[in-house]
Amino acid sequence: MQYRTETRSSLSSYNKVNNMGMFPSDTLARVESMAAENAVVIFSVSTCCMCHAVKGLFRGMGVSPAVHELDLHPYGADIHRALLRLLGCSNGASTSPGGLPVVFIGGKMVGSMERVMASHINGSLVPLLKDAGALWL
Amino acid sequence: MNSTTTHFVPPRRVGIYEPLHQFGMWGETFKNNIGNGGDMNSPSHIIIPNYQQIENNNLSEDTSHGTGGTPHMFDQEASTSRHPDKIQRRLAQNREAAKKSRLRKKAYVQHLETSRLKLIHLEQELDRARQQGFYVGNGIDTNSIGFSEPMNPGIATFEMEYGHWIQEQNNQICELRTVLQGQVSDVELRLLVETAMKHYFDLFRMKSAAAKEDVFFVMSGMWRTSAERFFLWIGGFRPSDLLKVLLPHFDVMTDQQILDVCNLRQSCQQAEDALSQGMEKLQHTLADCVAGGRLGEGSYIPQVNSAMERLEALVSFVNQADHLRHEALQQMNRILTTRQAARGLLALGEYFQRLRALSSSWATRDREQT
Repeated sequence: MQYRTETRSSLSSYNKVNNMGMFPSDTLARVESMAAENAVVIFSVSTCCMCHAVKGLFRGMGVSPAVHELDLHPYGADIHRALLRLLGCSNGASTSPGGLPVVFIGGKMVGSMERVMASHINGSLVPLLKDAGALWL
Repeated sequence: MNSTTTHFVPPRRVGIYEPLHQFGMWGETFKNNIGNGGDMNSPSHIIIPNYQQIENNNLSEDTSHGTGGTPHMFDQEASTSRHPDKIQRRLAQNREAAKKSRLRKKAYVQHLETSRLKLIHLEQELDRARQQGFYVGNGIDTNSIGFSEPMNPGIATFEMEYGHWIQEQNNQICELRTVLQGQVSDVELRLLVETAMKHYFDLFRMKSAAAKEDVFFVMSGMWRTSAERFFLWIGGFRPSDLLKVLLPHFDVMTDQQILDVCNLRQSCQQAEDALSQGMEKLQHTLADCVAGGRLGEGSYIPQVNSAMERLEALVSFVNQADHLRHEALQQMNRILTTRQAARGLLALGEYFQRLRALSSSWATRDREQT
């Protein structure tokens, strides 16, 4: 199942605005394709405890996410950098050091643990999961 | 912002006797306390700052040499040189005044000594009470007379601010209770609800700053009362527990509302479980880290940097837990009507007040048994 990725257009405009000419576009393409592989995709670090928490959250809801451990991935560092750019600098100290985990649902970026939890509490996460086919009623 | 040293009595101010400083002080303080039997006509010996002059009874207005002193001396000098009996009277008055001065000084010193002993005694009691788990906050440092551990000023500030937060919280609860007992417009209620919500959000902000200073302090809950600490989960209350406790106290709710609240409780529970799992993993990996290398040879943690990094992660857990509390409160605000939200906040506030009261009762009960 392929997901319409909305990240491409937002990424290219982001590129223009922030003059990220030096940023390899194939990394972004890689991120996009990885994000499109599954209904729920988590970019994580194997030793990170907040990443462990987000994995637990989805599994506890009966969702099986695709997890990419960037510290064990050949292009992990590049992908990590790309994700940080996508997240922007606004997250500050509330995210765990390093900005991970980052969650994609239905090919679209949801964000860090904070965003995921906020959307779960305000009730928007479950519909999102259902739309992506990750949850069946 | 509040000064971080206002609560702290530096050791050197206690017990050290500065005659010059004391003179001015006890002169003023004890004039009224002990009763000013001194002659108001000759107060010049009080104004003169040189303590030595009193002891030696040197002060004499009839010395026409006019040494320094006060302008007062010059005035009287002219009149007394022509009236010897006045001179005698003045000398006698001087002696009297000096004697009274000495007595006042003695009384003051004794007062200081007893106060000092009382202070030491109080601080020991405070220490004991703290060990028993009784909440003794507001930055009181029980080591101010003895050896002092440098207290983190950020934490001292937090404790002080938290004290104020509690006071403000009590005021708001009182107001809510009063207002809900009478007739009140929805508009007015909305304002009170928003104020109360913002007050909680202020607390989360304060905690976040304190967590950066000393995350263990925030996690320990030492800034809260003992009964509150019993229910502590990652540095604060557990949202799903609170929802369970408060649910029966709401007025009639629509079916949709009941459904929404149940969903909220469930999602809170799931988020809490996820964070708890993360914390468990943090504990395990930290334990592995600390036990790394060889134990029993008197060596340190081999990868101490990695251990420190793990502890940094603790800060983000505290922040995420508070974020969860923040979101849960906001969601409740969305689900409920203004009136329901007001009652809910009142119930929540009173619940914590009761917990704090329980802590006090418990601490008192302990003392009676010993």
